[in-house]
Amino acid sequence: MRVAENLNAALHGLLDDDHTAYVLGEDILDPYGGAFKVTKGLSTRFPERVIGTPISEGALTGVAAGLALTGNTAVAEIMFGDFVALAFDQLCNFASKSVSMYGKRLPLRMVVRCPTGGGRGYGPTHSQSLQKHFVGMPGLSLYEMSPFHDNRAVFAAMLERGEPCVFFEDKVLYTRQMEQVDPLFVVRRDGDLAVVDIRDMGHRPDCVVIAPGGMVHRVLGAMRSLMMEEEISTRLLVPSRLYPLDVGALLPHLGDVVLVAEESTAGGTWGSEVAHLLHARLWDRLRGPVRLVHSRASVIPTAAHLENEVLAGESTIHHAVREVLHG
Amino acid sequence: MADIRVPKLNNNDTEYLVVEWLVGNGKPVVAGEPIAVLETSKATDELEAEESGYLHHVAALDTWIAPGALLARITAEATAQQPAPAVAAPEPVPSEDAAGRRDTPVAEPVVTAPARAAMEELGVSHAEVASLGLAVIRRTDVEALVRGRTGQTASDATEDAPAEERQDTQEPAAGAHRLSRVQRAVARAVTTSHATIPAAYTVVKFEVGPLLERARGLSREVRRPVGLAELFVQAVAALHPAFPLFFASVDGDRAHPADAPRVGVTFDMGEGLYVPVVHDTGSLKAIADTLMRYRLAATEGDFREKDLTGANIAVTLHTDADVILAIPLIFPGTVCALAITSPQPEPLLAEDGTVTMRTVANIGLAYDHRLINGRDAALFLAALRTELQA
Amino acid sequence: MTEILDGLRLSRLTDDDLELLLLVRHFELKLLELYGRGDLNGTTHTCLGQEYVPVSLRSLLGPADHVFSNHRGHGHYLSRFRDPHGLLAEIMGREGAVCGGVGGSQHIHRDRYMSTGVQGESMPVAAGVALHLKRSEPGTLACVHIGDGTWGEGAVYEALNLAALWRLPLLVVVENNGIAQSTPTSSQMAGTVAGRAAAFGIAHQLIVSTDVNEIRLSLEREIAGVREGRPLVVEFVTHRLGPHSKGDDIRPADVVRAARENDWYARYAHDHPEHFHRLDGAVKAEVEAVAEEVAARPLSRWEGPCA
Repeated sequence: MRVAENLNAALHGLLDDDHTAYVLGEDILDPYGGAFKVTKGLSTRFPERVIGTPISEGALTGVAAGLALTGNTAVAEIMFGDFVALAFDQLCNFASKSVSMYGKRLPLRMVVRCPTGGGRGYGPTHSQSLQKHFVGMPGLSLYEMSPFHDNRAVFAAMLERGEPCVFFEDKVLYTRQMEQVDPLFVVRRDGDLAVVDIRDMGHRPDCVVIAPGGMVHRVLGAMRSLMMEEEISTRLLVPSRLYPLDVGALLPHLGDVVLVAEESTAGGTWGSEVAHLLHARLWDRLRGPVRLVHSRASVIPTAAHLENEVLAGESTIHHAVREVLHG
Repeated sequence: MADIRVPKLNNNDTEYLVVEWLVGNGKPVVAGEPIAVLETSKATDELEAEESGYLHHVAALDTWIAPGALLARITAEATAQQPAPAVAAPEPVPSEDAAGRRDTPVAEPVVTAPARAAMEELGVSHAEVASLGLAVIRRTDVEALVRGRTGQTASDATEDAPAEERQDTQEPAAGAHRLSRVQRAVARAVTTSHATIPAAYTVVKFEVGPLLERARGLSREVRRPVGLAELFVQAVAALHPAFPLFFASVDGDRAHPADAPRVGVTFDMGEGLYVPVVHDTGSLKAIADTLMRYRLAATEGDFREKDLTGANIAVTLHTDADVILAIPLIFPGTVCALAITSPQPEPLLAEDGTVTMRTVANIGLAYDHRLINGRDAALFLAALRTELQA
Repeated sequence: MTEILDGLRLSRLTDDDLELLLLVRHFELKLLELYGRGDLNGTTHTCLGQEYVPVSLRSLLGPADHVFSNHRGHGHYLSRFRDPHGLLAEIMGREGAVCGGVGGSQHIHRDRYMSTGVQGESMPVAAGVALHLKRSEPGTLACVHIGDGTWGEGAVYEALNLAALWRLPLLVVVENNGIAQSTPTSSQMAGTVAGRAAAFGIAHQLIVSTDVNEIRLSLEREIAGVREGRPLVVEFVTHRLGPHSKGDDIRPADVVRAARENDWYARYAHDHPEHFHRLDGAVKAEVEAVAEEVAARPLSRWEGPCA
């Protein structure tokens, strides 16, 4: 099943099981079914609770918050994650803060979905990964879609938190298959963490890469070439919830060489937060600082050959691992 | 005749699914008529024929096909049915997809580049590594496989590859001589021997003139070449009942005697050093037969697995001109090795002052001093001399 | 405008209404006094001169209606809950604070009442609440208090667009006091509030009166219409007596004087002196007592953001 289909099924299931659930966004109604078809079929089955909005990211996020405030479950879609900037006030100053700023916990079951990431030639304002701008916002949790985490379960986890969540969906994943990886790899779950190792490893891998779901296939590609060409073994850890990060869950799977790989451009990244958390726990065990792999500090160009030079890809990860292991 | 190739339907997908054929294979089709349904991640799309004619399916139903790949053909005439459409070969997927989707798990192991290099160096076949049952074959796996092959018996040194394999064709790097496969095996055996067997050495001078005479006669008799090698193999084998320990193997403070003598003999025709084994030491004819066969095989390295295994003692031949002393290797798993050196003329001064010539050869015995002492070695050699004179 | 009002006499209020008006007035005055003495932390936005707006509306709203207030919300809160202790404790960070001292003057949440600190932010939220009410509790409405300056924020327009499109039971109460912080309306608003409502096809009503009874009469039918899904913008032309927050009043003297002359407090005292004086002193004393009692309370406690 493709990831987008799994996500679509999750939304169908949510609307089926939770009669207070609403899904709102721009162009999400059938027959169009959303820019990435994730909301296909929803408005046909649930016309009252699947609402198409005008181009008003701020307002639709505020409406979602108002629905959540009155005890409903609200899932808002921002068509391109880049546009979440227009909803920043509603997320930062209203929804996330309302959970605690009124002195008593005020639960808000609310998810803002953000299709994210480049690699499609959509240009600087339609290709970004804006996770880092939401890291460290009290009352706001960040999750990222991955091929190893069933979306129904992720949505249940997000809504269970009773506080607003931003769900980043890297667009490159939509057409990929859930769960499936090259037979070279074996995937297992340790709670919410997905752990991917090279089959029949038998010993601790040479290094561990922590990456959000959108980077999975690029990391796996690098893992393959690193093993094939240089017999370097790598383990991949994919958390579903990026922030607040469950660092404890990562620790048993880490060795003395750790990297974080993400598509975000350089500077103030999620990875730097992860590195900081790990340094505090693992300083004397690590061979060196946690190595950050990310896109360059640049706007994301449109032309494919230019975009490739900016965005972090398989070879960026491959070279980073080599560098960190061999100097 | 027109090729119908898959157009780029959107910016998101690298492949589309062939969901339905709307016009049957070989059936007539009109320009503009929809012929197939492809599914993208966003929607289903119909592809239309660009010309009229007869449609021939190329891609198969329920397969993934990339933009630019051949979907179908349209011919002017209703040609004979194409063979059943094969699975569409998708365009090579970009490297970032390489580790992603794969529809069926494959039992083939992944062999790393260093492992491939080791396979070539050490003469390991793909079938061998596949039989390891590992998902990933690394260089260390190949090396372990090779070590597993070269076990504890004397001739294992040369049995590191089935006789069919002749792969020591690596070009040496400029200025460096690369050891051949056979030589590498020898090197391993010698190293192991030196490391594990505390060896001592005793030499006795044998008069071999009458022996050589007798050999010539025996050659005619058995109609096989008979020389010192054949006679010594026969004599050594005959000593087995009286000297069982010389055919044993050492294990800690135990010696495991052998049930029968199996004599390894060295052959080096310039192609490599081999130590094939004479299993049947019952008759001189059998020994001569075997050694003749081995001599031929050594010129090409054409030995079978069983030829090279099972020796419990070795006879090493150093009969090249003027070699008067050679200290042989004790093959790992055995406890002694005999060295036969080159027959030399020796003048003999009689009591009455006359000088006669005789032919002698130094026969040495290298022995594992954990099991055999100098006295035992000397006794063995004396017995050997007696046996030869009989 | 002042000239027209000069000739009009304020109608007689019920004791209840007058007490509430006086409560808000004296509460706000008390806050300014405490602030001046250095007893108050942070800042506070008083609604002096505008108290009649929420007092008028309170009989037209029910407990099932949602009310969204803004930074100048003490009058809105006191009209809804008549809880000077809780409000003052919130402002002073004392035990019994309605929000534990965390939200302070601007961020108050109690039952279906909520105030937010960023202008315009509550409009889309109120639209979402109105959507819920329309579906789940038809006949109830969401009321949002905004000012003239709030019309600078895009969120207002986005929300009005939705309210009209979706026919939401949304009541937008604009307290147009002619000034946004330090900027007179004429310098920050092109066109009119009425024009803006009309642009979305939303009904607009202008209220210039400061007479509670008169206001209620003129709004009764329109607000009933809101409950049926006809959004409404009610614009009160009013006067801010005090500064924006504290100590930042830069208006010219004549503007301030005009505000004073329109002040319901002075006018009611003039029009109904015995009623006024019977209650004014008592309410003032009540507020004094509240202030003294709350100031003596221990500091408020908060379990923290993750509680």
